Formats: sequence, structure tokens, C-alpha cells
Amino acid sequence: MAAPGGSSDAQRRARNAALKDYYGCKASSEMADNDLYNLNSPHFNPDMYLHQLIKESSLTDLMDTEANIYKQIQSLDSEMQTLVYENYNKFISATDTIRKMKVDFKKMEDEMERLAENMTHITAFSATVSDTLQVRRDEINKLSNTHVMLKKLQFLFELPAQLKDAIDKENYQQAVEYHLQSERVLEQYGTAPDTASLQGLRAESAQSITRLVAALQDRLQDDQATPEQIRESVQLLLQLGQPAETLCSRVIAHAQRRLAGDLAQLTNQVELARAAADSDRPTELRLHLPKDVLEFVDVDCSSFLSNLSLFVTSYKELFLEPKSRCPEAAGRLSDCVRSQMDSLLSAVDSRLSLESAAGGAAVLARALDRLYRRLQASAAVLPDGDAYVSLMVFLCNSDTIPECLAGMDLIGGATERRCRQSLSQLCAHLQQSLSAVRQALVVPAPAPSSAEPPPLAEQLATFLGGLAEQIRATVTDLKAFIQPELSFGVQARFRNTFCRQHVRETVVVGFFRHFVETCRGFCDAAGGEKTSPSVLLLLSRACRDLDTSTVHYLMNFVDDLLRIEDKSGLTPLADINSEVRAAGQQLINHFVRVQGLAVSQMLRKSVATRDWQHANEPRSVRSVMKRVVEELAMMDAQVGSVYEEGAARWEQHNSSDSSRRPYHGPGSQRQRHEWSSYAPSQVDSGLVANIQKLFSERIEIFAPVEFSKVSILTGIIKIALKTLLECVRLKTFSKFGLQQIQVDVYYLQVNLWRFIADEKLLHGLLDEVLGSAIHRCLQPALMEFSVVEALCDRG
Amino acid sequence: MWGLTLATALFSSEDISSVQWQLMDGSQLLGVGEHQLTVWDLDTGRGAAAVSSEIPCPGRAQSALTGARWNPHQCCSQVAAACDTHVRGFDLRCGQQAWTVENADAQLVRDLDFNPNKQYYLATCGDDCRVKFWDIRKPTAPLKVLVDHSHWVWRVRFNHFHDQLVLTSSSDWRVLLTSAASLSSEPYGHLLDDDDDGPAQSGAQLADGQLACCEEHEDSVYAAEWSSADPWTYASLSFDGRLVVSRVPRQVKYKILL
Repeated sequence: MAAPGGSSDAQRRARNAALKDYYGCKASSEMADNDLYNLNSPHFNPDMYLHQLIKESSLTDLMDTEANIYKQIQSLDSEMQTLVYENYNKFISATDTIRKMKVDFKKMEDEMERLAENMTHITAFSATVSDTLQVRRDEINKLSNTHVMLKKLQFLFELPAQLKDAIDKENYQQAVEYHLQSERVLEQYGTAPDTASLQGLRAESAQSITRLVAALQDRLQDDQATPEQIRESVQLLLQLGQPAETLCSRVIAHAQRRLAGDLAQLTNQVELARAAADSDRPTELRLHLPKDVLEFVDVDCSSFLSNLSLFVTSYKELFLEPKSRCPEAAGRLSDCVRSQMDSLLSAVDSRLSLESAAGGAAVLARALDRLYRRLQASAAVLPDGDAYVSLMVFLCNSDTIPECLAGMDLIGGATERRCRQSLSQLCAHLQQSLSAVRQALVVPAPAPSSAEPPPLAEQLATFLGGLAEQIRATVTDLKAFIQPELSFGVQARFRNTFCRQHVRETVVVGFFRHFVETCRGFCDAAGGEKTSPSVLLLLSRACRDLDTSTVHYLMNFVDDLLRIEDKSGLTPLADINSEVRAAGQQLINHFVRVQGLAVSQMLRKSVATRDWQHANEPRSVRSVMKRVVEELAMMDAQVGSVYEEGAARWEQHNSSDSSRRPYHGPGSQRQRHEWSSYAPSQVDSGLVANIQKLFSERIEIFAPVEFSKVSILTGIIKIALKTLLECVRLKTFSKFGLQQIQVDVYYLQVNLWRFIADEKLLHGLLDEVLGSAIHRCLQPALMEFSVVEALCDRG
Repeated sequence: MWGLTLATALFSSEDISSVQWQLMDGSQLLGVGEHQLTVWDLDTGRGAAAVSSEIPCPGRAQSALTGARWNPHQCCSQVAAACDTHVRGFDLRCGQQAWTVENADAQLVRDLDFNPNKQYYLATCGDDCRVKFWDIRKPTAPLKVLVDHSHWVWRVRFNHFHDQLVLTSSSDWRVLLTSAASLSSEPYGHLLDDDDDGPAQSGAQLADGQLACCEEHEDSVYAAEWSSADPWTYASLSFDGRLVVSRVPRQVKYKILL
């Protein structure tokens, strides 16, 4: 019992150790006590276990434990046996496999050996073959080299003839190819000792090449050569190693010659147009009709520009791409192009400047559009091309400022010129309508009828209407330049300057200024004498109408049409209005002055030429006074047809009129008293006058008047009466002379009240006239008032 | 003493509207008639006067002469007459018209005056309310035009000493004292009196323009004259008989003197 137990103990220990090794468990000193007693623990101590078991367990327990352990040992043994058996089987099969493999390898080894043997055979054979062929191959190689050599030589010998042939046939391309080949060959043999034949060959070919170069350069000189030919020639010459520098100057010279032809045509057209503009001969008589501006731009400028573009393209291909062959080539090109463009643009400029205003803006606008498009198209090709289209674009890109006319400037200049033309057209139209008005007003003047006012008002309406219509038409015409379909019209900068500066400021505002100037001209002493007063009147009214409505309307029309929103920097409406208003004021003042002087001239002559000291007793009002009143009535009608009454003092006036109208009414009572005040004694008459003056205001004779009929007539009458006063003071009167003045003054008094704004003024002036006459009278004795009244009534 | 004798001796074929002494020595007298000028030689020693020359003035019948002046230069050998709208200058030595200023006034020339210190310079005034200065060597255009009056200008007078001071009177009841320094014989920056204490201020120059306006009159002013004794005093006379004696404003005086 103990023996199997002991052997199983040793067995178990060994197994445990094996397992322990396997699992890598380490025995540690601090293992727990019960580990020593655990059967499955690696640190199991069988002695201590047994000792403890025996010590602690009862006999039965011991028996049971023994039985139990025995059973376990039994089962473990059987398990081990099973495992060993299984592993043995596997080992056996592995051994079988290895044996089989050994046999197979043997077979393969044999085959390999056979293969190596065969290879050795093949190598030997090949060496033999190659050995046999070696000699022949060298020979063939030599032969073929010789052949090539001979061919080259043959080519060399044939070269001069070939070259000549090609040159004669003008097949320059071929010739240059030959030459280049021979060049290579000759170079190859260049170092070789020269044989005579080679030298001759060289000389001959050089001769041909010289000819070739000469022919090509001749072609460059030839003006008839097409650009393609030129291009080919230059390419060939470049291949022939001619210096690029001279070539490019030659090409440029050729292009310049060709372009000069086009330019001559352009200038010819300009000359024709100038001649047409200068001469008054009818168009049919002239042999060469100038093309119109559209055609000019379309045909001549386009051909010039396309030739130029063609030239520039080929030039760039030849000299500038892929890399510049000559350092100055680009500079020369741009110089040349600049000068050509300058001459083109100046030619176009002069042609455009010849374009008269009669042609309508649309044609010019189209022409400019075409020009602009052409320039834009060429701009892509030309160096600094944008500069010719618009200076601004160029300035953005570069610091240098080219001294050239840009296309956009050209267009700007042309449109500006056009605007000026329109302005002068407008001014001419103004002159025309003014003279028309003058004529219309002069014709009915002799007809002595008071029923002529309508013509003046009618003329006024026609004049103003014509004016407005003309301005509208002009601006609408000019609008053609900013139509959206025009390529240059959409540019904001152009549009801005054109609309604001040219059309609005130059044309419209300029026209108003001109109108004002013209009006002022009528007021000048020099021009004023010849102008009929009715024209002055009409113009003053026209100014007033312009001021109140027409200017405003027209400016709004222009602003709307051209879509000018930002008004800063532009002449404000109020300025124009005030200028026009001032001109109107000046005109009406001048009118008053002219008419006043006309009336006063009559009065002055009548007073100055009469012998007042030997006058007869007055029997009637002098006819001059009647004429004066008639004249004033006519003026009144004339002014009334144009101006309103003027409200000032009218009501008050009316009320006093009604009292005045019947001469013998109660109103005349006051007058009588006034008049009779002079009668008693002449001593205090001066005093009375002086006292009156104390209370009356100083009368400005040539004072500005208002725009109303009453004010205008008052102005005229003031001037006339003041003249009468001054003339009376220069004369000496007898009793009857004084009485004649008395009658005249009374007549004026009862007839002039209708025209005048302030009756007191009239009274004051007339009183002064009579007072002065009394002063200047040798026997101052006035007439009975009733007699005066009767005399005036009779008149 | 000889007044009585002469009163009978001055005889003319026409009505005489005004008479002027010759400016140099008073040995001659100029009378302005309707259509002719008459010059008398005075012999104060014998108390006799004889008609030296009668100069008819060309013009329309109805236009009378409005005034005449001796030319103070060239030994008073010239007189100028205002005739209608023209001014005509006559040489007394030959009795012929020497020069003429056509259309010196748009309406009528009322008066004229020679610049006493500057040859050839003439001022005219008249019914177009303007005072005009002329160089009689170039009578086509006025040198200067003053438009300060609002009615006829009846009188224009240069100050005898400081000819930039021009006096005008008008029937607009005003008398104006105007500076025409740009046409004066005194150049800018010139010191008139060397005994003055301070040097002239270049900024204190008298400019052209109106200096004083006398509005004391209440009627047309027909006459205005400078005092012959004091260069700074002038008088004006209006229709209502008012005579106003005025002085050149003190600042103006200083400006001219300093």
C-alpha cells in the first residue's frame, strides 16, 4: 500500500515539476502553508501532507483518502497511456513521409544533371558559329560606311547645281535645306586636309548662298511681297544665320512702307473730306467723292489695322517666340507700332474733326463704335495694345506714360467736338430765330393799328417753343453716343464725362449761357441802338418764361434722358435760373430806357425848338403831347400783350380812377385847389414845391422795373417827364408860353394816370414841371382852370 | 474899371450862353453861341475888345452847342466844344477843327473838362448818365466810363491840383466825388509833398471809385466847381437855389498827400 503510494508520490512530484516547468510557475518562499498540503500545488510536500494527514485524520478517513488517491492515480495512468499511444502513431506516419520524399529527390537530381550537360553542348556550338562569322561582319561594316560616305560626297558634288536649280526655281526653302545639310557635312570635313575639289565646292556653294541671301533680301525690299513671302524669307534668312537685328529692322522698314501706303490712302481721304468741307462747289462736280466717315472707319482704318496686326503677329513669331533672338526686337516693334498707331489715330482724328454736325450723331456714333471695336480687336495683338484703346487701362498697368493718342481719347475728343458743334448749331439757330422774330416784328410795325398785340405773343410762343424743341432734339441726337449697343458707350468713365461734362455742361448749360450773353449784347450801348424795342420786350419775356419754367423743364429732361443722378460738380439749376432772370431784368430795364428815351426825345425836341418867349395864347394841346400819349398807349398795348398788369396798387388805382374819369366830377375839386395854389402869388410857389418835396420820396429815374405792365410803363413815363422837366428849365417863358405848358401838363395828367402805378409820382413830376416853368417865366400868370379843362377836352 | 467899356464891346452875331476866360493870362475870352464859338482879344490897357475869331460849329440846325472849354495845354491854343453827341476840338491859330470825339454820349454831351495836368485827357458827361474819360489822340473808345448817376450828368470837373479827383453833378439830385487815380497825372507811389513827415504807405493808395456822395440837394444840381483857392473844397448849386460847399473827406486827403 505504501509502495504504490510512494511510487505515485515520486511520479506525481516529477509530473508536477514537469507541469511547473511547462507553466513557468515559480516557487516562491512566501508560498502559503496550505500550498504545501495541496495535492495539485507545485510546492506540494508529500511528507508533510502525509504527516499531517496521519496526525489529523481518523483511521477511516485515512482509508477513504487512500482509496480516493488510489483511484485518481489509476485514472491518471490510463490517460497517460492513451496520450503516448496517440503520439506514437503520428510519429510513424511522419517517418513514412520522409522516406517517400527521399526517393523523389533522387529522381530530380538525375534530370538536372542531364540538363547541365545539354547546356554545355549548346555553348560550345555557339562559340564555333560566331568564330566562323566574325570575319565577314567586319567587311560588311566597312562597306556600308563607305557607302554613306560616298553618298555624302555625291551630295556635296551635286550641291552647287542643286542650289542653283532651287534658287532659279525660287524654291528657296529647298535651297536652304540643301545648304544646311552641306554645311553640316562640310563642317565634318572642315578639319580634314582640303582637297582642291572640296575647296571649289565650298566656294561654289558660298556663291550660291550669297545669291540666295541676296534674292531673299531683295524680296524683303520688294513692296509687292505678301506678308507670307516676307515671313518665309525672314525665316530662311534666320536659318542662314543672318543677324536678327538687321533683319528685324528690315522687316519693320518693309512693314512701314506697306503701312505707309494704307496711311496715304487714309490721309488722302482726309484731304478729300477737307476739300469737300472747304469748297462750296456742288458735290456732283467733284471727281473724287470722299467716303463718309462710317465707310472711312470701316474700310480704310480696318485695312490699316488688320495689316498692322498681321505684321505684328508675324514679327512676333519670327523674332520674339519662343525666345527673343535680338534684344532690341521687342523695343523696336513697340516703337514702330506706336508711331504707326500715332499716325493712324491722328489721321482718324483729323478726319473726325472734319465731320460736320449736319450728318447726325448716329452715323458718327456708329463710326466711332466700329473704330473702337477694331482698336480693341487689335489691342490683343499689338504690344501695349490697350494703351491705344484707353489710356486709363494702360496707366493702371504701367508707370510709363506713352505720349500717344489713345482711342478712347480720340472718341472723347470726337464726341466733345460734336457737342461743341451742337452748341454752335444751337447758337446759330438762336440767331436765326432771333432774326426771324425781328423780321416778323418789323413788318407789321408800320401798320398803324392798336390791334397788333397778338403777333408779339405769338412770336414769343413760337420762339420759346422752337428753342425748347431745338434743345430737346439736340440732346436726343447726342444720346446716340451713349446707346447701350455701342461698345464704348457703356464705359462708365466715358459715359460720365460725356453726359455730365459735354452734353449737360457744354451743350445745354453752355447754350443757356450763350442765350444770356446774347441778351446782354442787346443791352449794350452798341447793340442796343439797333434793336427794335419789341424784340427787347419779347426777349425779356422769354427770359422770364425760361426762368420760371422752361429751364427747369429742359434741365430735368436732360438729366432724365442721360440719367444724371449725382449733381455735385455740375452747374446747379438755380444758377442758370438766376442768370437768366438777371438777363431778363437787364433787358426789361433796357427796354424801359430805350422807350423812355424815345418819348423824351420827342418831348425834348418839342420844347427845345419852340420859341417860348413869343408864343401865342394857347388854343389847344400841342400835338406833340397827343403823340406822346398815343405812343404810350401803343407801348401799353405792346407790353400788355406780353406782361400781366401787375397787381401792385391796382385796386387803389382803380378806385381813384373812377373818381378821375369824369373830368368835372368831385375828384377834380382837389386838383383845382392844387392848381390854383400857384395862381395867387408866385413868391411862395417855390416854397410849396419845396414843402411837397420834403414829403415825397426821392425819385430814381432809371430805376429797375418789375416784370409787370404797370411797372414798365411807370418807368417809361418817369423818364419822359423828367426830361420834360429838365428841358423846361432850360427855357424862358412868356406868359402864353407858360400857359401852353400848363395846358400840356394838364393834358398829360388826365391821360397818363391809366398807365402808372403811383399817381402821386405823376402828380409830383408834373407839378415840378409846371413849377419850373413858373420859375422860368417872365410874367407868371396861369390860366383859368376851367379854360385849361375845356382846351384839353377839345383836344 | 474896364467892365463898362467891355460890356458894350462884346458883340456877337448869336446869343451867347456862356463865356470863359482864357486860362493862361486872361487876355482872351471864349463865348459859346448857339452854333458858333467866338473868341475875343482883350486889350486891358486900352479897355478895348475885338473879335479874334468866330468858329462855326458843323452840325444840324436844331442842335445847339451845349458848352465849350479852353484846353489848358499848348498855350491855350485849342478850345473844345460839346455839340450834340460829339465833342469837337478847334485850333484857334487856324480856326479849323483839329480833332473830334464822335458819339461821346449816346444822347447829348452836356459838359466836358480837360485834365489840367495831363495832356490829351478829357472827361465828358451828358444825358446817358455816364461820365466818360477820353484820350483825344484815340477818340474811338473811352478810357473809362463811370455809371454812378441815375440821370443826366450836367457838370464834370477835374480838381486842378489832384486830377484824380473828379466832381460830377447830376439832375438825380446828387453830387459825386470820384477818384480816377488810374488816369491821373500822379503815378502810383509818387510823393507829392516831400516835406510831409511820414513816408507814403504803399497800401494806402487811392483806388478808383466813388469817394463821396453829396445828397444835400433836393433838386437837380446844375453846377459844381472846385475852389480855385483850396484844392480840397468844392461847391455845387441846384435848381432850388441851394449852394452846398463841401470838403474832400479827410481820409481821402491824407491818402493823396501821404
